[in-house]
Amino acid sequence: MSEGVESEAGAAPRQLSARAYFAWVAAVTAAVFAMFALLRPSLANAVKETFGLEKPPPQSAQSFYAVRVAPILEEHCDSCHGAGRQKSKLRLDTLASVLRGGKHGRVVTPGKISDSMLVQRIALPLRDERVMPPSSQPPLPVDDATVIKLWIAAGASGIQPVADFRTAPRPVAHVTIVDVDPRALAAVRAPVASALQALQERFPGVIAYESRGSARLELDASLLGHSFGDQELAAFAPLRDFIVRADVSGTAIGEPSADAIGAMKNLRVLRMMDVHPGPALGARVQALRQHGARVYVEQGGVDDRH
Amino acid sequence: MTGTEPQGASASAQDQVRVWDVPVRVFHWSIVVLVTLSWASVENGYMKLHLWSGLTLLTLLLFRIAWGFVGSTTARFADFAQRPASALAYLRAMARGEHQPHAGHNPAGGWMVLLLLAVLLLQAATGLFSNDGVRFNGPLAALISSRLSDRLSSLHGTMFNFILLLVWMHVVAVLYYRFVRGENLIAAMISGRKPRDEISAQAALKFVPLRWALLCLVLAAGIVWWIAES
Repeated sequence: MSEGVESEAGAAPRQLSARAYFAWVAAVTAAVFAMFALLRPSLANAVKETFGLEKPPPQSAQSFYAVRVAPILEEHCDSCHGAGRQKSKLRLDTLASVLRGGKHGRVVTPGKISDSMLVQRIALPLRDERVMPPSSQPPLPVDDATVIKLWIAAGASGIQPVADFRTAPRPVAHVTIVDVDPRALAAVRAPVASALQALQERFPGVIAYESRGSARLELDASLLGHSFGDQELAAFAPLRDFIVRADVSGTAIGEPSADAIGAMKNLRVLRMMDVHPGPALGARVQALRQHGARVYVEQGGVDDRH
Repeated sequence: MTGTEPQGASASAQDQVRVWDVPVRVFHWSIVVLVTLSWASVENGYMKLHLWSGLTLLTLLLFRIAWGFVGSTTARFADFAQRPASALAYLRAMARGEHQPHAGHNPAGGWMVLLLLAVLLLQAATGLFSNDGVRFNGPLAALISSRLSDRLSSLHGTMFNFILLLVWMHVVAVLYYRFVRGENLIAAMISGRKPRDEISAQAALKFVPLRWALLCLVLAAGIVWWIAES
């Protein structure tokens, strides 16, 4: 192998010794690796995280980020950018990681919506293969995108309170529909089923279950007016333990119904508008109040003394 | 197969000898472009482009394997796939400064070619069964369990680093010839010609007509199309 430097005038290129060449290779390789490491955000992020070089951003549990932004990211991004999986080495489950970014660098530029990759990707048309969430997932609702944009525009803070974002869309209430187990429900309703059926035939529209999955009952005799009195209320005695709401407003019930009302131990709401209870019924009503039931007795208003 | 020519017939006025046929050269630089494109497309989330790049790469790899059996002399595996001992002997001789001219791949370079072909083929094959965990599935991913697909996807990603290592070794070796030995292999892979003194005196090269390469390419494309459509 040739040593030293050779050169032929005007023809062959200047040649290196093998030793010199491999020294160059080592130097260039090391330089390329170093440059690659410095320019690759994921590596820089890993170093910062490992050695604690990154000061965690200040956070508040009542901030706009915590209350409005984080739940959106959790719902729409967590499966691919959460604790279990980090596509493109990006996590969006903590404020620090959101601000840090992923393999391609920062995804949020505080104060600059147009420079934030997070916004760019969610703003892409649904047919674009880079749109986020991906087209196979439910699209991000417009209001959620607006919330993210408002947060970034305001500086992507972890402490700025919700009250500072007056123009933010109102949060959507999430309703959970619980599956009903028909057998279990029938078993719970069984003790009153036949009595209820008989009373529903006798007083149509007066008594019904509170909901499709409940054994609790609601009694509403207010539409019957004075045709519903103490005798009629007494007929509901077999159901007394299951009645949780009762409206006897405008009916003819009076003192004789004191025991019937008092026996409804699970009553949570009692409406007695335009009913004038005597001492016995008044005492029962007072006892119900003491057990936490809400009782409406005044004409045209809520008795909220409790 | 017809259409052969002796090496002496193609020597130029500057005493350059034709050593690489057009299919080998086009294949080589196409691989450079496609590997780069595959990397860039997946890095930036263009999965359709990544898929097409990968399928094209697979087509060319299948073509190259076929061409290794029926192609021109320097393209054939029989010309450069030698025993490992031959490659080690070549490297030892090179370390001693001895010059062993070869028209095509030298024994050590031949192993690099085989290794690159094997790894690229494995990379393309695993890509067929891969998924990106979001919405992209390789053409054959549905044939295996999602767990196996996930594993092959992981292997697909990891193996790219090995490809980078092989590419680095390949480039270092080529530049070694350029700057230490004074042999410009890059120019040879572009023009297809080498100076006569850089090739073996006994080399009798035969070149297979281009139409046979096109036939191989069409067959390879057909196989890949069948795989992609299945």
